[in-house]
Amino acid sequence: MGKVRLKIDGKEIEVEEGKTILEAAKEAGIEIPTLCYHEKLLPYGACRMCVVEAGPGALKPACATYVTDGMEVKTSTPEIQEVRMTVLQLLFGERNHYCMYCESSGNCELQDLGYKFGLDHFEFPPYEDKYPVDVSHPYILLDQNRCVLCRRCARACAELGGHFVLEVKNRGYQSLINIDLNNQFAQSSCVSCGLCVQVCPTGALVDKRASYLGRKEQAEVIKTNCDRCPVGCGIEVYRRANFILKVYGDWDSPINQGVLCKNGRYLPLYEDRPRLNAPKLKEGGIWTQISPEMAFKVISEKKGAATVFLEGSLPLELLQAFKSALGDRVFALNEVNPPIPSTATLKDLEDADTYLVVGVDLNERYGVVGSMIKRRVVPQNARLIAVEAGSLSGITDFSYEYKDIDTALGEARKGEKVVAVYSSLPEGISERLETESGFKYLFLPYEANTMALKELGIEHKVPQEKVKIYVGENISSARSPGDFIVAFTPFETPELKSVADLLIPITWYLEDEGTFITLEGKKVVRQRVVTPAEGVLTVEEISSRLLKI
Amino acid sequence: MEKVRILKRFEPRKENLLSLLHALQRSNPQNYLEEEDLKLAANYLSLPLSFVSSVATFYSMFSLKPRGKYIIRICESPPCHLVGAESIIDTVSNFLGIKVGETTPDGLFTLELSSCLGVCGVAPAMMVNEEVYGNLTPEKVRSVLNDLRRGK
Ligand code: SF4
Ligand code: SF4
Ligand code: SF4
Repeated sequence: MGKVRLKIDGKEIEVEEGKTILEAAKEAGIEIPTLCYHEKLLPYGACRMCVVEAGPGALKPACATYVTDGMEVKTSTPEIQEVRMTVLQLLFGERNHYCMYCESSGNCELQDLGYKFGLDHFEFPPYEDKYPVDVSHPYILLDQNRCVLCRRCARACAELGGHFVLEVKNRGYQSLINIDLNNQFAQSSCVSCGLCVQVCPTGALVDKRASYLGRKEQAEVIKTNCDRCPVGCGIEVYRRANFILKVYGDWDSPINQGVLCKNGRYLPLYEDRPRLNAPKLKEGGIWTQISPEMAFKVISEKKGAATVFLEGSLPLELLQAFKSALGDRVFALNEVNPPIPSTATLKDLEDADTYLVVGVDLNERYGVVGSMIKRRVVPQNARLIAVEAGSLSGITDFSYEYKDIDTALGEARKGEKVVAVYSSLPEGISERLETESGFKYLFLPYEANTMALKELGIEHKVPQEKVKIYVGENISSARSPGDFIVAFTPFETPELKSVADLLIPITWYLEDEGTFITLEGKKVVRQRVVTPAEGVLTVEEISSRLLKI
Repeated sequence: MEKVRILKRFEPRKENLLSLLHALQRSNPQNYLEEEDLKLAANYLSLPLSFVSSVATFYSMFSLKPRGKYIIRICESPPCHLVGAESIIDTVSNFLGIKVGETTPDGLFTLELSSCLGVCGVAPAMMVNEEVYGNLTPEKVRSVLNDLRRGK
């Protein structure tokens, strides 16, 4: 790439070819106001806040005008400032921007611009028309009256998420955010990734749960990693007191670059299974609360006969603790080994021309991997060959059942850079799939920390023993007479209580620090963001008690 | 089915979206695009539904509501405006008893406005379906509409 020399506000600068005026100005430390611009999205030029003087003719949007050699740019002449002020007045006047009732007041880019430009009155008669409000989505509220039509939501939904749910309908002042084919959110193809809310600069798209619970400056933002699946996305957790307000994607994360899925952004905050807050023992059909000492005494008595079954959702440290305490009687509750080992990384998804997705619906699980694929497939930059891939088959003409695996493979082979993406595979299918020499393979581990189980050499085994110790959040067990069943678990569900004899509370989600090994084999750390309730045993406490049994 | 035959006339490339939507609209006796049409087009061209619907609602030549057999588009650009487009609009509106954007109950006429039709030399002008009428006066408009009504 060549270099381009130009002048911005009299300052001589040199930047890479292909940069916009906005980017060049930023490098030179010159700030230009923006609204529809978003660093992670393609330039759009909808709002005209960033207009600058660059050569003859009309003012140009700095976000969407590329630098040329010898260009002379002026970013803040009185004329430019006046135009920007008019733009701002129009933006404020068109719809309902009476900030005092808005959820986003204090955290709104439009309001910030108003303060910056000293806007102290409405120059144009303020809005009269009323626009629709859509409250049908379980997590998101869309109030078109606060929308400035910057289209960041639609651009993020498409460009980053690959979901293509949002667009703008109609034109001019009648423009509205459109969901699919004029749908309500609840009846749409929205997968609840929440990207649109994360990028909306105003109060038009808001997070229902976090609404009115506190503004950004009242919250602490903690950067950490999602532990809901083995992708291990970077997240920013908004905490106020000991409460998680919301989870945003971390734009700086090398894994997901800001994108999240429903499982990472919303589901854990809506978890409603009853929590277990103290060890409990069942005797003669009656549950009694006992002390941790008592609980571990029972375990130490049963130790000789006990077999441990660990879920892959647990942090490495806890897995290790059980392994060192009970050695060769520690197993994985669920499958651990890949049907075909990975040879690809997430990076390989960026330039593949063919994705062969087998047996997994990436709209439901590993959602961010789904985004990486969908955002290239829908604009037809790559092909998707879907084999029993659930709702994902809706975006491709190449959708097959297992019985047609050979046709699917034949179709995939037409690609030059083929990545096969799968989790568990039924018998017969992995044998067909693994012999493709030209493919790269991306295995999606079954649980968030399956890779840690693998690293510790913990094998899967179907529980059959009389005395079983389960550890995890989704435990179900059969029970035969004479069994003794222990569960280390965050939740006391009725099903679990009906089969278990001893329940010991453990931390869950962001209540504890812990290491996770992602599908690429990278170690990421989930931070402790909130303090667990009293009585819940932390990983550290359990580890030290296990050492003593 | 007839709609599938219409689709097949076009290569499934996204550049063909506009022509395809026009063809689907034309095939409908009520001159509009049904939801079904948008879904068909999206599916056929492998485009997101949201994109197709944004295109269909952006262009004023497409309608998502049933329209009349004759679509009257009166030019409202400055040259026509200066020589009395306003009174032409009023004449049509009174004569048919409908407002701009509405359709007569008998399903015959829909009244719409249009930007420049490119025939400023004969302003004020209007288009009825594909036919352009210029040098309009209230009398001329009434006689055109009467003829159409009588099926001439
Ligand atoms: S939540 Fe995600 S999928 Fe749904 S509309 Fe917003 S960006 Fe699109
Ligand atoms: S909803 Fe928000 S992000 Fe979307 S166009 Fe409106 S203001 Fe912009
Ligand atoms: S893809 Fe996995 S790691 Fe990323 S947000 Fe979703 S659940 Fe969390």
